[in-house]
This record gives sequence, C-alpha cells and structure tokens, in this order.
Amino acid sequence: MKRILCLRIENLAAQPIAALQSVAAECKQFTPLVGIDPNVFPQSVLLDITNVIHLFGGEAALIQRILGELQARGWRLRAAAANTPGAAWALAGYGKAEGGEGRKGRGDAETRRHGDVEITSSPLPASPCLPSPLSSLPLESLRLSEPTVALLHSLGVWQIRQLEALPRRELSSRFGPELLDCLDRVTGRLSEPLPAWEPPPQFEVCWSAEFSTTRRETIEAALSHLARRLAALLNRAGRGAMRLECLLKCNLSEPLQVVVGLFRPTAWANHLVQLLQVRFESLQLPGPVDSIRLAAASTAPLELRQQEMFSEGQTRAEPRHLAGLIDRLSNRLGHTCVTQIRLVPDAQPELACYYAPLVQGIEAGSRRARFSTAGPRARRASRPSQRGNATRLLPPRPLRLLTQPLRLPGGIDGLFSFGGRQQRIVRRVGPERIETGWWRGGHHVGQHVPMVVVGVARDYYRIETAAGRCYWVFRRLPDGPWFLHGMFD
Amino acid sequence: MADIPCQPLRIEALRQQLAQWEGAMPWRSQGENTSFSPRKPALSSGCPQLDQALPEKGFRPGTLVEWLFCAEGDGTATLAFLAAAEGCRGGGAVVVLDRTGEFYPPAVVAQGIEPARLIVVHPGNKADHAWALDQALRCPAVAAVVAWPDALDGKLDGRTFRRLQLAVEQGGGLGLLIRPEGVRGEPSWADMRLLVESLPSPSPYGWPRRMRVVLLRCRGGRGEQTVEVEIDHETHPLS
Repeated sequence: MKRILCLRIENLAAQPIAALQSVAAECKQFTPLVGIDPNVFPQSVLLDITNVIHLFGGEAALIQRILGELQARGWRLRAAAANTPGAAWALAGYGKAEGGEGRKGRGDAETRRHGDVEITSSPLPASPCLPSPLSSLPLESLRLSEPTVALLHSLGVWQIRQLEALPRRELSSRFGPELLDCLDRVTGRLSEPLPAWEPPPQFEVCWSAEFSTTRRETIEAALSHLARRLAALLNRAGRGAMRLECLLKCNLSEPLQVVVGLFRPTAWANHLVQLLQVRFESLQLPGPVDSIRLAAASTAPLELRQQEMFSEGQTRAEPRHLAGLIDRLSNRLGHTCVTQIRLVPDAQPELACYYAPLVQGIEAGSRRARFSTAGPRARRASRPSQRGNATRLLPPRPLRLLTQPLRLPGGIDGLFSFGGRQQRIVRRVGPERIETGWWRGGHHVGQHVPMVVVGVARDYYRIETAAGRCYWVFRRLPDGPWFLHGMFD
Repeated sequence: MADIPCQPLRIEALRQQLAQWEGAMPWRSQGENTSFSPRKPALSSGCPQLDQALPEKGFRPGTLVEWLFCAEGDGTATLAFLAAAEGCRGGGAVVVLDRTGEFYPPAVVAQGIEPARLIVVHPGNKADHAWALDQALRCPAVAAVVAWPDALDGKLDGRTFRRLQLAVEQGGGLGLLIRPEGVRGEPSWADMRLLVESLPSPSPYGWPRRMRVVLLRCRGGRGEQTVEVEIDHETHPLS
C-alpha cells in the first residue's frame, strides 16, 4: 500500500509553477519521487513517502520534519497523507474546514497542529473501501467538473459519504463515467499515477586537486578531463553548451572565473577542450589552484546530425567546422573582434555598415541598439528589397575607409598629396552630395567608428591620379575644407 | 611525339605533360589519401583577362595567392575580393582579417559577396593576427581568406608563411594575401605572386578601371607575364 503526502501551498506567488518547482526541489531530499502537476493537483506538491517512512522514524516524524523545513523558508502549507494521490490532495485541501466534525465523530483521523500548519493523516484502512475521514469531505475535493458538482448539489448531495450511499450502477448512467472515475481514483479502486517531476539537469563537474598546483600541465589535463565528463553529461541529455563557466578556486587569492561563449550548441568534447585551452593559454593564474568547477551555464538542444555512411564532400560538416572556427576566434580574440556585417540604409558612409559579434558574449547585452533608431527614414527603408536597390544605385564605395577623415590642407586643385607623394589628378567624378544625420545628437558610435558623429553635409568626389590610383575625397560643405576619406584599394 | 610537327608545339605539349604530373602528384600531398581527394578544379579569378594568363585558368583551392600592391588606391584588394567572390560561389565563408579597421564591407558586397557569408575579424595584435590567419585558412568551411599580413608593422617571416601554406592546403580554401610591393624579393610559399599596377582609366567617367597584373611567380607557369585587366563596378551586380 502506497503512502502519498500532499503539501498544499497557500501562499503561492504570481508564478505558481516556478514556486511549485522550487518546493518540489526542496522535497527531493526526503524522497526520490516528487510530483507536481498544476492542472491535475492545483497548488500542490505530492510526495511518495511509501518507502522512506522508516528512515525518519515514522510517518508523523517525517511529516513534521518536512513541514519544519519548508516553513523555515516561508511557505504556508497544509499537509495530508493518504493512500492515493487523490485522497491526499482532497484531505490537504478540504480536510480542515468541513471535515472536523466528521473526524471527531469517527475518532480515527488525527488532526494535529504544527505551528499554523494543519496536518491530516488518514490511517491505513484494512480494505480498499472509502477511508473514513474522506467520507465527510465535500464533493469539490473529488476534482469533479463544476456542472456535475452543481447537479449533485441540486440533488442534495454535498458530501462524499452521501455519494457513496448511492448505488454505483446508477451513478454512471446518470452522471457519466467521470463521476465514478473521480471517486475511484480517490478511493484507490482506480490507480492514479503520481505526476513525477525531475529537476532540470545541472551540467556541472568538479575536480579538486590533492594539493594545490600551479603546474599548467596538471591544470590543463584536469580541464580536459572535466570537459570530457561535461560533454558526456550534455550528450546524455541531448543538449549542447552555449556558455561554459569555469571557476578556478585558489587557496590564496580570489577565484578566477573564465567564461567561454559558443556560436552553436555543442557537446563535442574535443571542441570544448580546445576552447578552454585557447583561453588558458593567455591567462595568468592568480595562485596555486585548489579545485576547478566547470559548468555549462547555458545550454540548448543539440541539432541532430545524421550519420553518413560515405562521407563524400565536406558540405555536411561545414556548419560544425565554421562554428568551431568562430568559437576559437571569439574566445581568443574577444567576442567583439569576430563579427558579421550588418548593412544599414544610412546615407552616411561610416554608418552604412556596422559589425555585430557572432558570439553573444557577456557584454553583448544591448549591442548597438542605437543604430536601429537611426531615424524614421532609415527605418522605413530597411526592407531587404529596397535596401538592395538603394545599394545598387549608389556610386561605388571605396574598399578602404579611413576611420577618421584625413584633412587635405592643399585641397585637390590639380595636385593631390598623400603619404608624402604628390600626384597629379587627371579625373574628378562627382559630386555625390551626402547631407544627413541632423537628427543624431553628438553621440559616440561603436568602437569601430571611433568618432563623434553629428549630422554631416559633404560633397564626395572620386578622384583618379595620373597613375590611375583612385581616392575618395569630400569637401565639407559649410566651410569647404577637403578631406580624404577612402581609397579604392 | 613523332606526330608533333614543329618545335613550339612540342614544347607546349611537354609543358602540358609536366603540368599534369605536377598536378596529379604534387610532392606535398603524397600519401594514402591522394585517391580520396581528387584535385579540385581551379576557380576563376573573377577577371576573364587574368584567367587567360593563368596556367590553370584560375586559382586552385588550397593555395595561397599573393597580391602585391604598389600604392594605396590602385585596386589590388578589389582584384583579390573578386577572386574571393568567385571562391565562395560554391558555398563557404569569406573571412577578412582587418587589423587596421579600415576595411569597408559595402564595397565588397557590391562586388558580389553576400553579407551573410562575410566574417570580419579584427585581431588586436600581430600574434593574434598570425594565429587567426592560420586558423581561418585551416578551416574547411572557409572558401577564402583575405588578409593584409604586412599592415601595421606586421611581418610574414618564412616559417609563418610556410605554416600558412600548410594550413591552406589542409583547409582547402583560397588564401589571398595583400602585401606591399616591397616584399617582392622575399621568398614565397604562395603558388602565385601577382603584382598589380594601376593604369589610367580609358573612359572619361573613370570606369572601367584598368590595371596591369604582372605574374611574378606562378606554379606551372612560364616565367614573368604581364596582362592588362579591366574591372567595372557595374559588371558585378548585387545578388
């Protein structure tokens, strides 16, 4: 005979599921089988305590202990133990208010007060008939649908006892199969499984040294061992790491934390080892290392890869290889240094393109959000087709754009001097007037455009020297000085 | 051989044979996997005139190509990116290593490289640049790598160069190194060394641009050769 303990939580917060899960996680220390299902057993955590009662010196002692533990964490709850999940839930939910009189009369149910917690416990019945404390509970405790309850109420049936007195055969034909099913689940005639809950897996592995070490070989070997164990854990769960956190505890100084971000979820041990090694190559150990903790702080489902019998061509392996390269580069050079380009329909050349990190690092929380607010006109034109057309119509752009336009003191009157060389200008194509950005205040944009950008008004020319070299120069409009901005390299 | 009538033709035939042998059994990829990795066909350089001058009518994947420029603004990088655009046509990424931060992607997008294929890396120092270049060349998913190894006091010494060559061979992409003309006398591990000089444009509008490409070094080639190429920005429509 099973014993199920139901904890009905009365101060559930706004997120009931999360709260139930946290209670369930705490209950895991008492019994391996803990169940929650907010739809079937609202507000409740169910514990299968059948096989653990003797470990805690009896059921009453176990319940006291569980309640003490949870109360200390601020939960207000009512508990009841019974032989079926349904009965435990019914007792926990409705046992106190309406059942008091009945219980007293029967004398076989115990109700104790433990702090402000109500504990109800129904004794083990000899036969699978209705346990007596249940019979005085209201019908609502059977988890019936509302119309059925209303119908029974109108017929004068208020308690389970009254329902039991009715002939079973008639019940089914008059009220549908639901009523008998619900009743039987509570009494145990119909078995009901406990909705077992497992905490989400923690991908974390630890290693501690017998004596602290500064030897890099030892630490690297330990890391590679840890990475393999972690990869095995991840593989078993079918998940890949998106972010690794490695904590090196040193006995003399602050622990050192290393975070490795990944482009694509992976559970491939060699790749994780490589990434960690790349990071550790350039790392200064603060002192002798005591222990290492490696955790996959963020994971995502692994993409399924079909095994191929004949691996011809590398096209299938390509995404994995590329992801590996991006991960290695990002982790050694820094997340912001490995980028993809984003073209923005902005008339100002410096702002027409920006770099977005391929791996989302820790610092990439709000990456360059201000570019998306570049202006109402720019936003409207950001549909891909329009953008393509816009780029096509633009005069050619130089391949090299100086980060800071270079002032040409001599102007471009026939002669052009740059880099200590004087060159004769044979052709000047333009102007292309760019007058934009008046809505931008004087703010600083991005690390790759290290200049304060305000609205600009420029006349761009493409000039060609006698040797056939092409440069991109502009005249700043209000005052007229010349600047070199790029080279058609 | 007897049916080859005159001397020039015979020399040509011998050359072709030699090229075949060199190609079929290069000294560096001898091993058990030769039968599994058939020679990849050469990729067009993106310039028909240049293709004509190249012995294999293009650049073979898995090799390094050096582009020497005489001065800024002469269009060398544009030619290199044309080759990169051809290289990534069959899939794969284009990795650009830009230490100076002056690379301007819209120009190469206009040349036909999809923005989604472009990965721009900004290494902070020389060591990181060399390492990133090696890693990018080694990756099989990368179709082309473009780098300026000599920018900002960078230096490509013989050992690094050799390592890059081995890396690109392993990765199977195209390594495009844009270098100043001053390195002309230095030894090279690249399959091709091309010197680019700009010429005045024939048109009053400045397009097409005209350049002279000197094939300084070329595997399977026949000594120094000069070819004039023209590129027009309008002939490379956006995809």
